[in-house]
Amino acid sequence: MTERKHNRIASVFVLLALLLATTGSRAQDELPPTETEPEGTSSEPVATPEPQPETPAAPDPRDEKIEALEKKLDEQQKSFDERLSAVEEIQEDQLLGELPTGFEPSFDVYGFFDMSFNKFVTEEGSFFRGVLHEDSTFFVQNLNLYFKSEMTESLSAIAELGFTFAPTGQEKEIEMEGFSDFEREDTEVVDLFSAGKERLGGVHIERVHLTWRPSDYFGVIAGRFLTPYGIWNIEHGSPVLIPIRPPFMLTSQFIPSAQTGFVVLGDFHPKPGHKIHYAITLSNGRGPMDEVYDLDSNTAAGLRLRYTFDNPNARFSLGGYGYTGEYTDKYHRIVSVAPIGMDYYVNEQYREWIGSLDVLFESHGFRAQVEYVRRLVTYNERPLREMKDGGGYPPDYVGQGAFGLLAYTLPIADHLGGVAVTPYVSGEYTEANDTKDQWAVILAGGLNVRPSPHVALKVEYYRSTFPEWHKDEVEEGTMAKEDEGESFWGIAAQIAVSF
Amino acid sequence: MDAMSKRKNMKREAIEVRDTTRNALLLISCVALSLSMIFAPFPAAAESPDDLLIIANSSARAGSISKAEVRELFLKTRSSFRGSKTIPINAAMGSKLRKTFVQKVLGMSPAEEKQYWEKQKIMGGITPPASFSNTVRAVFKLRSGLSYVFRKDYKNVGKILLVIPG
Repeated sequence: MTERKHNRIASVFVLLALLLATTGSRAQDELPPTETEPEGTSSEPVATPEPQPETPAAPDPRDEKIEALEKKLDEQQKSFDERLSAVEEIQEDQLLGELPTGFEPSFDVYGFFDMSFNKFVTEEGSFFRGVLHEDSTFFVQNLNLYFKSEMTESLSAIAELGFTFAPTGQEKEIEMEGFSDFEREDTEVVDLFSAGKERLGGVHIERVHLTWRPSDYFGVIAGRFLTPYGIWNIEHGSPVLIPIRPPFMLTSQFIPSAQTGFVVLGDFHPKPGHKIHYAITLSNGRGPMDEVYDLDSNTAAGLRLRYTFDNPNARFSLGGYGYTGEYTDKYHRIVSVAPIGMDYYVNEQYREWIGSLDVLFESHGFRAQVEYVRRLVTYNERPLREMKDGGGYPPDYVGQGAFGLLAYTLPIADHLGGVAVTPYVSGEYTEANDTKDQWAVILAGGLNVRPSPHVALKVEYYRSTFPEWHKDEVEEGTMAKEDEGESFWGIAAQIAVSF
Repeated sequence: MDAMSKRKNMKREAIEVRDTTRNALLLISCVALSLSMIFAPFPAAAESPDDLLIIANSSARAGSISKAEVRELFLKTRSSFRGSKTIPINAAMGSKLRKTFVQKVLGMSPAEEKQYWEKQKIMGGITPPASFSNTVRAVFKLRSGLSYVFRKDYKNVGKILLVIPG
């Protein structure tokens, strides 16, 4: 009898458990989608101790007073909270009242600058001993100001101006006995009123363009824009770049860093976390004055494609940019005096075909970045140039460059009050012209410390090697033997600030 | 006597068969329960006041959103969702809600988030989403607004598109 009863009770419990499990599953189906499973920490009811029989005690009048005061304090706190909440709501209503569609026209001015230190060290007998200043020096290299306006939800404009002390102090002429005298660029002017002396600098327009972006899939940029290639050229601001020195292929403009014309661009998201970006560039291309005028009618064209996979654990992107354009240098010349007649003389013209690839991988503080550019130049009109063996016309050539960076942000920021410490190494190979043995290998290593998102402190060691640059000349006896140096190294440091 | 004992035997056998059947059913039930606990979509709706709710205006066409899509919208790598322009609205900088969202959805620390926006600003002049202390009200006001709130602060305003367990 007892066994049967036990079995019956057990059956009832099992059926109840089944029923509950089924109900639970059904209830969850009706809830909004849950991204991840919770950790299932169900709170156990805490056993409360049995109430002890209270011994009657005489009420203390002080307790009553304290109780009354506490009540009054609670009421005041409640009233204060309500008022504060009401004020906040009014403030927000005012803000939101100005944003009926959630958009507010804006105009922002911001920028960045950096101050650097550099010391070149050349080896005994190096050719570079006479070329590079070996003095330790501080310098301000970049001061960029941004003016950004968002006029409508889909229309915006940006101007980025770079201010520079250049050309102050640059050597215009190198002294060569019997041929030329040394001359330094002097930009000093005197204020007519105060007689104070000032050295003028310069301004270069990094970019200035209008952007119309009605949707993610389609947009148009018109103006002077940064060429959408690689990683460095797009990041380009010293406070957000990890190393100090830009790759040689970038400073040598294997691809023009900016172009004047149009970009048609857009993004597609085949799946959440996956993005395909495209950009078609149409511009003046490269030229002696391409910012303002195209000296040929051949519009340069480029295509940028980039695939990005991005989630909280890792980010990977693979991009490429192809470009073709014609460089033309032509100038007026007078061909007859009476009557006066003028025409154009094409001094130099070549077509260039450029391809670039870039790969970026970031995960848990680790960053690997590789960029590669290859450039083919074919001449239509070869300029007469002074060459080592006298004079001549340059042949078609290929230039190429690769840059790689490995960096790791140490997981110690929490222990250092949020200061991010990132050691890094980089390497690059550049061959500017395959017909001239102009190639270089530059290796660097350093430390990037970010005490705040607005400030980056960097220190870097680098070594540049030019293995065969002068060998031919040395063998031919056109250069002195002691000029056979092939490499130099240096130390650089930088404080980069965004504001 | 024989008839009595025969009837008793039959009764005993019947009881044994019934007990065996019941035991078999019990065993089957136990196995079924175990299997249901293993394969059922757990947890059984363990709601927590600290759950992070991704909310949109009630007029939003979408009924759900993935965490990856929320991340893209709040990092401004996309501006529309299911064909509609979407305005992400952040909680106030430094608030517990903002910190939780940044950590759980963006996968960043607050410092990394600031660094991300510094980079975007320098690269393309892209600024972070607007911030409001009362995200529920902001979503209530803005038709294309998308924001987040702790379950304990949710006041049945707006549509819940995603629940991120607390």
